[in-house]
Amino acid sequence: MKFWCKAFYPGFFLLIPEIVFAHAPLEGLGSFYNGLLHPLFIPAHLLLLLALGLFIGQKGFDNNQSSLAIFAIGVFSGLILAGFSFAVEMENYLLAGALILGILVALELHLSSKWVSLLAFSGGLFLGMDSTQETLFGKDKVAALLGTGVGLYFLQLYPIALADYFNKKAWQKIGIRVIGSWITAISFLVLALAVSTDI
Amino acid sequence: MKQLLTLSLAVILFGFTNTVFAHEGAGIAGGFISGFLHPVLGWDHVVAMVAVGLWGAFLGSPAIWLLPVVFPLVMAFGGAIGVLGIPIPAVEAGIAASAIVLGAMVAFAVRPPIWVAAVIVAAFAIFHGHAHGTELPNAANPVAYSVGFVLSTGLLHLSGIAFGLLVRWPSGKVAVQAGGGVISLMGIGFLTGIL
Repeated sequence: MKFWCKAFYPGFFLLIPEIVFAHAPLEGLGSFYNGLLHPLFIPAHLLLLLALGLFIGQKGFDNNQSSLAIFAIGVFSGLILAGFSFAVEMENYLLAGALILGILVALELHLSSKWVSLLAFSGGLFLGMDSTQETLFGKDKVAALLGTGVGLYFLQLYPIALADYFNKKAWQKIGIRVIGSWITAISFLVLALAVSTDI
Repeated sequence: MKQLLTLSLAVILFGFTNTVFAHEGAGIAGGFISGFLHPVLGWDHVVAMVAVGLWGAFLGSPAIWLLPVVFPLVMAFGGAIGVLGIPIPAVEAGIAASAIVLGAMVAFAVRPPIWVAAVIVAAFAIFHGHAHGTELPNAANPVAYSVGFVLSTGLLHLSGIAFGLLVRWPSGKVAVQAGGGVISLMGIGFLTGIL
C-alpha cells in the first residue's frame, strides 16, 4: 500500500501543472499564426511599433522608404538572435526606444534619413530579440519566429500609413504629436516602475 | 492509514484549484481597463482634465495643442515620483486646487502668455501624475495600465477641447465660461470635502 501511495502522489501532482505560455498564444492556431499574433499580445511591442511607425510616417514615407526595408532587416536579425537564444529580457530596452521615439514625435524634430534608418534598424532588432519562443523547438520555433517577423512588419505599416496620411493639415500634425507625448508618458512611467523594482 | 489517505486526497484536490477572478483587473485587458477607469472614476481628475482642454481651446492656437502635450509629459514625471515612492505633500488638495484654478482661468477668461499657462498646467499635472503613479505598482500589467490611464486622460482633454471650441460663438463663449465656473466650484467642493 505504501508503494502504491508513493507512486500515486507524484502521478496526481503531475496532473496539476498547466501549460506555460510566454505571452499567452492562442491554442490550436499553429506556430506560424501564433507567431504572427505574438506582437499583439505584448503592450511594449505595440508601443514601440506605434512610436517607430509614427516617427517614420511623420518624416514623410516618400523620403524614408528605405527605412521600412532596414526595419525588416533589423527584425529578422533580432529573430535570428532570438532563435539561437542569444536574446535577453528586452522589455526595458523596448520602452526606452519608445520613450526616445515618443519625444522625437512630440517635438517633431527633423532628423536626416541616416538617423531614421538607424532608429528603424534598432527598433526592429529589439523587437525581434524580444520575440523568443522558448517553449518551441525545431520547425515549430522557426515557423513561429517567421510568423512574428511577418506580423511585426505588417503591424509597422499601420502607424506609418497613419502618420504619413495625416501629415497635411495643422490639426493632423498636432494629433500625431499628442500621441507622441502619450507614448513618452507611458514609457517613462513603466521605466520608472522598472527602476523602482530594481532598487 | 485511511485518515492519511483522506487527508492526502483533500490536499491534492486543493492543488487543482485555479485562481478565481471576480471582475478583477487581471492580465493585459484588466490592466488596461483599470488604468482607463482610474482618471474617469475620480471626479476631481475628470473636471481638472476637462478644464485643461477647455482652457487650451479658450486660449486658441498654440495653447490648444501645447497644453494637452505638456500635461501628459509632466504627469509622467509626477507619476514616476509616485512610483519611486517619493511623497508629495497634499496631493489630493493639489488636485482639488487644479480644478479651482483652471476652472477660474476659464470662468474669468484669463489669457496669460502661453509659457505661464504651460507652467500652471504642468505644476498641477505633477499632482495628478503622482496619484496615478502610486497605483501603478499594484497594476496587473503596468504597461497596459499606463496606456489606459494616459489614453483616458487624453480623451478627457479632448472632451474639454471639443466643449471649448464653442467659444467661436458669443453664446458658446458664455457657456464655456459658465462651465469653467462650475469646474471651479466643484474644486472648492472637493477641497472642503463637500463633494
